[in-house]
Parts: sequence; structure tokens; C-alpha cells
Amino acid sequence: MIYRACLRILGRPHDAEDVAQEAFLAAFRSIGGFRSEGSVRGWLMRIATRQAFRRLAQRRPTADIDAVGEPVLADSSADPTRVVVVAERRGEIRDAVAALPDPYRETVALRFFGELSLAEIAETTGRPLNTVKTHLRRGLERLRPALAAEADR
Amino acid sequence: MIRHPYGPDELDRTDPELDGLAEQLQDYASGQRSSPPVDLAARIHAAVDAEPDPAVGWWARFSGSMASRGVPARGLAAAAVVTIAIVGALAIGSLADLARESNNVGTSPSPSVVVSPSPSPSPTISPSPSPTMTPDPSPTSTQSASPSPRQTPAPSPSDDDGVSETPEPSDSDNSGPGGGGDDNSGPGGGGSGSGG
Repeated sequence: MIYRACLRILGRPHDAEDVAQEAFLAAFRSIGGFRSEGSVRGWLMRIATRQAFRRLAQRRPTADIDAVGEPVLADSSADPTRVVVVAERRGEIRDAVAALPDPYRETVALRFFGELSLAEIAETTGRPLNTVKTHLRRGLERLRPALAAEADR
Repeated sequence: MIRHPYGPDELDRTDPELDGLAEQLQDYASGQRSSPPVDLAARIHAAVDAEPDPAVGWWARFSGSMASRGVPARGLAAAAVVTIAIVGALAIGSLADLARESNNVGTSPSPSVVVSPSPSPSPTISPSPSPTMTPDPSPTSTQSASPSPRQTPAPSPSDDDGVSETPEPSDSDNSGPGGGGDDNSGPGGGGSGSGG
């Protein structure tokens, strides 16, 4: 799950592996800061998403060949044009989520990339459930112009 | 398969456009479900084993041991705050006492130690004989009060006036309430030569 969340944020398998490993190491180093009332899964996921967004911010803009995705390339019958369109669309979603300010980015990433429920996010971040709902709604509202414009093209 | 599928009730507000966006994000997540390489877990284990033991603070260690016994960490923190407040208040109080004592030693002896016993005998002795019961003690009460240790070393003019105005008690004095004779002003006096 940690690896998949990192892959959804970064789009590159090698980067996702590195960040997942770094996240586990960071969690091991800061094990004293773990609050017993939260879940280990949510705590690890929060560390991993933060590390992944940090890695994404440090990354130079390059041609994203890895981001095409292994499952799409593995399908030999797939239309090459469709493969490229799907890869572009994924890149747009990643960029749009990464451009969100915190705490909206964290909430959206934990909800959709980390597959945590709203209650788990509230427990992990220490925020009230209604606050998490508000952050999710505002995050989606902020994503609306970017993703809707991309979808219209 | 997504672990927690998105539901329209999550936002507490009906907005089909936002629901569509959420489903787009969910589709994106479900499309990125490639499994990690088989050696990733082994690499992570090796990296964690190579790390030194994390430095866990004394508070985390203490609260962890208490939490395992069922004591919540917030209760511990509240108890620690109350204890610190009590100890601080005691320390401030003892420091104030020390400062007060040092101030007393450094200055000259206060006169309150000498003066304080002097007024204590005077009120206890003087009011005891009431003038209504016997006529005699009224002048003696003023005399007994006069030799008090406060008045003897420095006689004031008021003392002289009191001595000169108050006559000495004698048998011929009829000015008292029980006096007789020619003076009829007293309550116990009786006429001696007017009747008859």
C-alpha cells in the first residue's frame, strides 16, 4: 500500500521504491513520535505521502517515460495513441493534486492515493472529522478548474 | 480493488461535479495498482536493520509503559502539570520566606519586641475595679495605671494634670457617691441639721 501510494504520487516505479524505503526508515527513526490512538497504517501513509511530495518538488521536469505505466505497456494489443493519452491524463492528475496547498493536498492524497477513509484521516492527522470533510471538499473544488479543463480537451 | 470506495455522502453536500472529480481520482488510483518488486520488502528490512536504535526520550518511554498498563497519556500529562505547579508554588513560597528572614537579620532590632509586652498588663489591671461597685477604687485606678512601664520613664504633662486634678482619697472626702455630710449632691447623702 505504501509503495502504491508513492507510485500514484510520483508516477515512476523507481522513485516510488526509493521513497517507500525512505518512509519506512523515517518511521523507524521517529517511532517515539507515534501516537498510540492512531493506526500504524495511517501514520506510515502520512509519512510516505509527505516524502513523495517532497521528492516530486525536487524532481527536475523531464520526459516522463516511466509514467506510462507498466500495466498499459504490458498489454500488447493496446492502442499506442490511447496509451499516450492515458499517460498524459495521469500526469495531469498528479500535477493537479501536487499543486494543491496543504492541508487539501494531504487530505486528497491520503483519501484517494493512500486509500484511507475519512475517519482514518481524521485519526491520523488529529483533525476533527468535519474538518477533514471540509478539506476534502475544498480540495476537490480547487481541483475542478484544472481537471475539468483537461477533460474537455 | 479500492479499499474504501468513494461515496457521494462523504462531502455532506450534493455536488455531481465534485463527485465526478472524486471518481476520476479513484479511477486513477485503481489504474495504478502495480505490485512492488519482490525484493523491496527485503531491501527495506535490510535498511531498517542497518539503522541504529532510535533514540526514544524518557517521556515517551515512561508514557509507553504507562499506556501498556491502561493509563492514558493525557492523564499522565495533566498529573505532571499539576505536580510541577505545586512544586513551583512551594519553591516560590520557601524563597519568599528566606528573603523575609534575611531582611529581618540585616536591619536593626525592631522596637515591636520591646513595646509589645508593655500594654498587656495595663488593660488587665485597670478596668478590673469598676467604679460603680465601690467608690474608692476610682482614684486608685488612675494611680495604678500611672506607674505602668510606659509612663514612668517619660512622664508627660497629661500625667501631671491628672495627679493635680484627682484628689487623694481620704475619710473626709464626701464627693464620692457614698459620701454624706452637708453636701447633698451625692446619692447616699442625708441632711443633718435642716429638719426640725
